Amino acid sequence: MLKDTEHLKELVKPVIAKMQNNGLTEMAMKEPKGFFVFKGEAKEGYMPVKRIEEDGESFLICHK
Amino acid sequence: MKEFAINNQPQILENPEKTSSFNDEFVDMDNLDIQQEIEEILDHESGHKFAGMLPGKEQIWQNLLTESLKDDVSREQLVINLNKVRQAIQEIKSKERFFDENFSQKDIEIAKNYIKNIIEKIKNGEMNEIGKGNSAVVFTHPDFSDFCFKIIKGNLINDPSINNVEKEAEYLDRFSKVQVGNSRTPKPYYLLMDNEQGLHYLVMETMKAFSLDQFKEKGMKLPDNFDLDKAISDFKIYIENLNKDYYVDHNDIRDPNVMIDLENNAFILIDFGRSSGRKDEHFQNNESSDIKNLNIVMDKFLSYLKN
Repeated sequence: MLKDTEHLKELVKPVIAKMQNNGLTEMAMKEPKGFFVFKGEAKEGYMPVKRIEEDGESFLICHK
Repeated sequence: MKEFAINNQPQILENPEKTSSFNDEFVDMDNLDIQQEIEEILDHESGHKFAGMLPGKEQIWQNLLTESLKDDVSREQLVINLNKVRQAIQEIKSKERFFDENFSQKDIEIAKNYIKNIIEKIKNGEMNEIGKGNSAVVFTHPDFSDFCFKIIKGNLINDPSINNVEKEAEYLDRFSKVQVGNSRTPKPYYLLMDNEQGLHYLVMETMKAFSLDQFKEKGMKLPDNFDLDKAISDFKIYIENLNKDYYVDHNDIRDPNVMIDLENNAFILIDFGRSSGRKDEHFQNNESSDIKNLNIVMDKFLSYLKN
């Protein structure tokens, strides 16, 4: 997945939009499977993969 | 004669980073109070412990101690010896690095806990071994296959004939922006060099590809849509870029270190454990042995495909 970090950033954009619209702080990604997005900090038990900024907010993509 | 209290029992420092005098900067001869510095090392008793941990370092420590006790030792010699001890201390400290510079401190802590858990699974035999070389074994997990863990064999963690994981990861990190077609190298994620535990490992991207020896052993064939000429051409240019633009020779191009990515029509170069930088401009202009070895590997691969 590291090789696809740019691709991952594209996939995560709609997830982040949904989180922002609904005030959510975490969501599972449908694709790729096994990945989660956290607003702010990650939770124990997840592997941080990529931290990105969107509209001035920081999100962390993690692997479960 | 000066006397120093020395506890001969090796002492484990809970956190070597807190020994503030052992910072990354070496000694400034003009400003150093050399005796104070030596006494500080002795007081910490860390020099003795550190010096005994790596082969060949004990003598450095003994020299410093012996010369410190002489009345006529020159300040210059003391500084030289002190620098050697400090260098030894630097070398044996645990080092770690994450390659995503945007991680927060909490991200790092969480990632480290996750990785520790995986390492325990490796120790318990719960991970899949996906590769084995002369100096390391590579593991991954079915539920976590995007990353792999390259564990250096314990007796080789300080072997000067191979690059340590820090050096190898530096190469991978430098080359992570180089891509010709889809030819490239894996991206590094995290490294740890824990000399107290004798554990060095590198966490990096798992390549969805087969090494050429795996490909042959499995009796695999190329898919019809695989453009072999393009893949070979891209790979050759890729390696030439490393040689001529980055002044680095891989030095170990052979079947286990060349992977074929069938999905992306490309060859992938792995294992920079024997790579080295080129030393001068004259040498930089010479053809690397990498290309010669690549030609041998590809000739053998073409022969395999014909049979």
